[in-house]
Amino acid sequence: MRLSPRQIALIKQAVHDLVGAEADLRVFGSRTNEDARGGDIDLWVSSPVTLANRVWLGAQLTARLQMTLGDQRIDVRLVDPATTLTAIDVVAQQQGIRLI
Amino acid sequence: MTRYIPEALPSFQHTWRVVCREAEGLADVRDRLFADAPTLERITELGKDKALADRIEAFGSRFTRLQDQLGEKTLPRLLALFGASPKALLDTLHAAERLGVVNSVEGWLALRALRNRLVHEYIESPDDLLQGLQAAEPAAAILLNTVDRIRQLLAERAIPES
Repeated sequence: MRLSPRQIALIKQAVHDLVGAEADLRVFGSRTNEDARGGDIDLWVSSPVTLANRVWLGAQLTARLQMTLGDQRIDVRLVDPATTLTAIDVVAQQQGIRLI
Repeated sequence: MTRYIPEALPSFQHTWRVVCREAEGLADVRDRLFADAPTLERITELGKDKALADRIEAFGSRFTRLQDQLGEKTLPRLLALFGASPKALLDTLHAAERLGVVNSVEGWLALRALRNRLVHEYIESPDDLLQGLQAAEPAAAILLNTVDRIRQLLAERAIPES
């Protein structure tokens, strides 16, 4: 996976602070491909509890990550038990690398 | 009272006129969109409700234009009035935060991330669009407040708006 230990630590910290320690966090997309270069950071975050507004919290999480990792393309998909899962969620669950 | 650089004024005034127009446009569509608050039922049937779909579309695009004009033109040129010339957006936002016209850099980035979630053609679930819109009303207020704070700063420092 093409993320540095420091980047992984900062991502985990932001998810922990904003979504909670119980969230499932996965990296998917081009950053999981060792042969690719650059590319967006695609994150899939799943909260075990229903959130007041997952869309706004996802935007806030994106902002926090851009503050700590630098202003770059970071795509956050934040789901909770009330979310209607889509094809991208299935891909993230099946192919994403869990950050633990 | 800080003096400003007169040579930098015309370029600032140009973007200021644009931003004031954009702000009026956003406030107008915000009022029309949220006066009759979109419900999940209506958003689920958005394909049949062209008027609502158009208002959401207009709101998203005016929100985007105002934020981009502020971030890319107005704030850098406002800072240039005081001799500062940050290059990257984050540097511009931090300087604008110190000047008191941007409330929070991280908050600004969250508004930018939110607006990308308002492009309804790409949103697969009506529930996500509804949550995005519910967050967007206070978000629009934050952007419009930035315009008000700049106006206040111009008055305080006797900088002509036009």
